Amino acid sequence: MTTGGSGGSSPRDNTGTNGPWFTCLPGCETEVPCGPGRHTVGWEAGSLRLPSHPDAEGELVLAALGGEKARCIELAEAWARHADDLSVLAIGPRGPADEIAVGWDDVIAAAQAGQGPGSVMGSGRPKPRPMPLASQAGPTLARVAARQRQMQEEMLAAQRRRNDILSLLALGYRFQVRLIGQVAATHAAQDGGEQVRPALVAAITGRLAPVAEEWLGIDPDQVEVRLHSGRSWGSTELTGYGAGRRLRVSLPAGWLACVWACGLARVGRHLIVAVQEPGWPTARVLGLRAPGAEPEPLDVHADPDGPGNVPHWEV
Amino acid sequence: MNRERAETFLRLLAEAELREPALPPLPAPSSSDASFVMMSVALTRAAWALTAVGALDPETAQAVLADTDLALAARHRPEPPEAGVISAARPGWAAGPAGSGRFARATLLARTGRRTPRAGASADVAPQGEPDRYVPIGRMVLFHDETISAEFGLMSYAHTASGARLIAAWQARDPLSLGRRGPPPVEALTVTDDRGNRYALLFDTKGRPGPTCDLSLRPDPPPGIRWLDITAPGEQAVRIDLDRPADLPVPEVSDLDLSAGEHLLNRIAERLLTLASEFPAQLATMAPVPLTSLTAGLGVTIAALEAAEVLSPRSPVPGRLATLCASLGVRGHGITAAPALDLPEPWLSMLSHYHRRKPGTAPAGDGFAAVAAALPELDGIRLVLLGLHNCDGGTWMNALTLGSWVDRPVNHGPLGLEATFPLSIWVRDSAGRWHVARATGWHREGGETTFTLRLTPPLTRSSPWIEVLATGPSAEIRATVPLGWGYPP
Repeated sequence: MTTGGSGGSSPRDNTGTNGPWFTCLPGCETEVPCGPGRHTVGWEAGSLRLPSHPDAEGELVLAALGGEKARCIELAEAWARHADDLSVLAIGPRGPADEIAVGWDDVIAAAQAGQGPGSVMGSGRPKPRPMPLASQAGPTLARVAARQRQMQEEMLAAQRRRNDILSLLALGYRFQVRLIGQVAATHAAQDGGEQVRPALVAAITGRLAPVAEEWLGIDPDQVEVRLHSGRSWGSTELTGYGAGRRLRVSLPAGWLACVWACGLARVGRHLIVAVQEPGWPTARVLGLRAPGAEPEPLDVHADPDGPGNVPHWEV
Repeated sequence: MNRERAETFLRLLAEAELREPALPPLPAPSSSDASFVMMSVALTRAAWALTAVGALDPETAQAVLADTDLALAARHRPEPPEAGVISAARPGWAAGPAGSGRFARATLLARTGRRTPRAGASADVAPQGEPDRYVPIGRMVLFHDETISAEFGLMSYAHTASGARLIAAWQARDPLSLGRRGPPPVEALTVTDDRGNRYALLFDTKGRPGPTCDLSLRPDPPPGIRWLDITAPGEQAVRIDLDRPADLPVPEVSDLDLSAGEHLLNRIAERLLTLASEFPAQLATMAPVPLTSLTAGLGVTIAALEAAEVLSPRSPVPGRLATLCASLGVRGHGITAAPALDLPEPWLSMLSHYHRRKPGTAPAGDGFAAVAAALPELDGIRLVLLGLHNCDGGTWMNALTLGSWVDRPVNHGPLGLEATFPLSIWVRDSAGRWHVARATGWHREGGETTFTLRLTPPLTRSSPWIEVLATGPSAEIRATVPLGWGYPP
């Protein structure tokens, strides 16, 4: 049986009907190694905060003039660069139990490896040039050289991108889910079409499947997701038996931001499909008791002083 | 073809891999070359297959794999080396597990806009003004000096937009054992044509395996020359008749309706049949052939092709592939289709050869045959056969192609299956036995690709003709090609 309904946050914009996607998320902080010490980096209301760098723009100017750029500043730049990067969804955590084991030592080691000899530019030792053959005309050699330059530039870009992602992962789970929410909200507000749909379907599937397992006891491999693009919240359907059992769910990309990233995917015995009135630490959401059922409005609240990486919500 | 479903399938496969709970902590790598890639063969094969049929562009496939690679590495902290074990690993390992260099190899591709894969059959063949010219030769040129004794078995002459050349099988000996190495000094040969023009020869193997080469003529001769005289120092001139007709019967062209997925699976089957010949002991005893490295993930590959709508769920090819695997005793392929009995005749011929327990039948002795056969255009490319030779127990055909596929990047697949090359090629000898022809040694230049086709099994005698069966997704060509056997090289 399939059900659908209306209400809740708009699936097609990142502000929802009643506020931005992150309204149900409290601020968070962590410490990162920066220069000789450790600095606090915070997130609040959708933005990264650097309280130890009150004049970040001035520091950027100094860095452009040849000064060393602080890691906190690099982090903020990386955050901005990847705010719409679908790789964040592919690499980031699927849930609180999905531990990402990346620390600052890993970030430093990866950066050093990228600077090492032979990492990009080769070993530095000139290789013997092969004897010219009849087919190797001058233009061919020029093309080979241009291709090598292009490959080196691509490799450098790939290393920078890897180091960015590792730095963002090293911030910890709370920051990881907030960045995932940001990326999902950015793409929910756009109609990227077939360019982005596969990545969004996979991102929702990867995060909904473990929730559905807890909700229904269904095998995560039996969860099928479609990207919902209407004004309603979507639909759910449970079909088949045994190995042929399938939970078919249609959800908008905004679900990842407004619901999952805010720790609202499952509250009590309900699968939360939308947020009607976002807020912290109380909110009104739409929850399903069972697949195919009509979603019901639920007033949920979180413990603002609660432990853990994600808000724990209760009805 | 459904490109969105293809990418979605691959990404969901990666998701399933990340959910796999059975992955143990990684041991520390024993060397700095150790890979941290933990992706399954099924995922990489599915990505390759979807790229090969054009359902995914290579950049997207590589981006998905790179993301998955880093995602897996980020979830599995390797265990530190045991105390007292000196590791040759990266410096990061000295800091223990937290400071590992496990991401040193992980690369994320710079995300670019998705490119639309090329259409498969846009023909762009032979744009030059003068028609190409291909002539069978079958003559020997000898060269001797104080330090080298060389023989060139001239198999054919080709003149295309890339220039004129003689395609030759060659061998050189160092009679005085002076340690001379390298190709024979072709610059010592003089070449003249019927109009009195003189030419220099340039030696180039063009990456071919085995002792074959191009002897390119410089400058490029005018069209319509009737003969060439090639003279080695102290030898009589050898006249090359360029007016000699190729005597190629009209090839037979038949329409086919193979999907891109079926064509790819057929080529995987051909690779299986080729590789099986490397295990004569198992074939002789009907023991399982150890080819699981090729067949691993085949079931997932088939599912990926079906998801991309390039393979019908009702296609008979997966069932034939299952039968082939069973016939070779290959397990672990994951194909769920019921085995089919209607195997193609060439497959049956090779299986029959293997199962007669004579896979190691002695091949023909060394020799070369004059061949010049330009086949009609097929799925956007024209195949030209330019000589055949037996050498060191193998049989090789020299070939070139003209057409749009030259622009496509080479897509090396599992165990050397070149999926970009759009044709499947078989050869039937005059005794009725089929040989699969595997293309190797690619060399691209000026809109042409030269390569060598290795026949498996090799020819066992000097067949006076062969039938060449070239198959693309839309049609097949059958051409009977006479072989003018020359002296051994």
